[in-house]
Amino acid sequence: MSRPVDNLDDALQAAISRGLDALTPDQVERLAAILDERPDLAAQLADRIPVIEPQLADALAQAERQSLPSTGAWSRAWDRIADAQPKVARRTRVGPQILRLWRPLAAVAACLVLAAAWWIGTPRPPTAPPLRLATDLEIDRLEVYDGDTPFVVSIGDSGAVIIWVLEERS
Amino acid sequence: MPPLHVEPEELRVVDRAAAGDSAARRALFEQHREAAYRTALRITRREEDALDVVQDSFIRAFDRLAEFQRESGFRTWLLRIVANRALDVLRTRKVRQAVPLDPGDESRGPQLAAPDTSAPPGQELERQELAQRLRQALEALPADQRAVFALYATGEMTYGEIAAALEIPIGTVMSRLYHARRRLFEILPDLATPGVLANTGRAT
Amino acid sequence: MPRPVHVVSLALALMLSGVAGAADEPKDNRKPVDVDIWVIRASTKSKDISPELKSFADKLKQRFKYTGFRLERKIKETVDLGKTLTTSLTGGYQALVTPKAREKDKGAERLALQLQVLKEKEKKPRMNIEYKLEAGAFQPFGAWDLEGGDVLIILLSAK
Repeated sequence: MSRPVDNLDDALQAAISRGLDALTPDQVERLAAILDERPDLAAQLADRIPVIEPQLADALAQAERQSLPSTGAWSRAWDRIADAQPKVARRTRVGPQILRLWRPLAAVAACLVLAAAWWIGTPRPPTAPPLRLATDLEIDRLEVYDGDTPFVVSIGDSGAVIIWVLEERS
Repeated sequence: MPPLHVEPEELRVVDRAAAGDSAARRALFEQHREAAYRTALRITRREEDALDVVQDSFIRAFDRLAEFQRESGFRTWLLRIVANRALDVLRTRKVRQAVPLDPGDESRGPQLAAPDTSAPPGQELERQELAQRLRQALEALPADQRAVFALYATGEMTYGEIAAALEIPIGTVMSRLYHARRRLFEILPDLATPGVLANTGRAT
Repeated sequence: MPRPVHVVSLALALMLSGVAGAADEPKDNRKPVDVDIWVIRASTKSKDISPELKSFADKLKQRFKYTGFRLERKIKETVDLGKTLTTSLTGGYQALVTPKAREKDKGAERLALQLQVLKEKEKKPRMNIEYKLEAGAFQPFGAWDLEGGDVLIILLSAK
């Protein structure tokens, strides 16, 4: 049976050496609050891997084994991932061609220098700060026109969504 | 946090994958897909969502290989993407479930396996029943505890890595993990080490 | 030396102004709501993006076919809880925004709102939604047909 610990220093050392089970719920909350404020103390825990009981790991493996995708499903998943990859253009040999093109290239370079000078000299409007989108939306009720269909579409990876109504007439 | 040891061979594969080598990317996919899937499943609790999360996560990872800092292994970095993508799916699902957009979807609750009464008696049956009870217990965890538990259950990630993956402080990781384990062991005391529940004030 | 009656009068005046001030000042969770609506025209025929919409447009372009996003107008109004702001958007559309409540959730302020989007001369709203979100954050809604194949998107925030 785990021996309860007396103070927070001991609690942190117990968490490190014996695991979280050595602590009471109250000690965990107080220790968590202090660790959130004290990165130096949190660093003592940072490189520890929390222990998982073999029987729990075993039960998880068993529970998940039945849900693993089939070979065919994995193959289809890879096909979709591969399709999403950008195609890499084949390189062509350009060395000798550049030597023949030096006059037109010099003209293009001169134009670019002039354009850059104009751009630097032109006052530009100040950059607007990014919009802060909601990331914790909770919908209580949503009604749309007959025949229209509402969608909740994730945008970005911060949890933001857009409520998108697809009109029947579209 | 001290830098972790990263296998040189893995770094070579990652370098080739970053350069667009399809075979290297496939190798990374095959090596890490199962860990990614298990993590996604633990968070989303739905097989089809978990597979979508794995696909999206690998696409994103390959797109951002240049950002992989190499102070942790590729798997840890990938699981960070997986966890966040899975939580994204959960948030969208939470919004959808507040409003039944498609009456057919209302019946799509969590898919719990029915007990297999045709299974062989004895130890195998007990294991399967335990597995089902564990799935149901995980389903009952709040999403934030489930996300921490999902990464903890890989058995490979440190407190610091879990904190970085979920962008929460280490103290919060500790607290959520403690409560997740406590809830699981209250429902499934046979999985707990003897004495684990002693400090909660409950009799063991 | 002021006469006692003047001191008493002054004290009374100070007390009453304090009470009146307290009565005039609404409690935090009843104070009026600042509503901010951005009216956006999204198009497939243009690639122009208003500078304030750059980050938002980048996100939407990953999901939808629209390439141009023009900020047509911004509407800022202060509305009492339970009251409805009615405002024109563009293309004959109107928005009705009703802030319903302020809440605190783990120290962060959230607002409960109702938004209706209507087209002129139609009795039933195109969309009627009640939702809660963090104060000051923008929630996007779309997309309603405009002429030329463009669509209306709105961003709504309340704090």
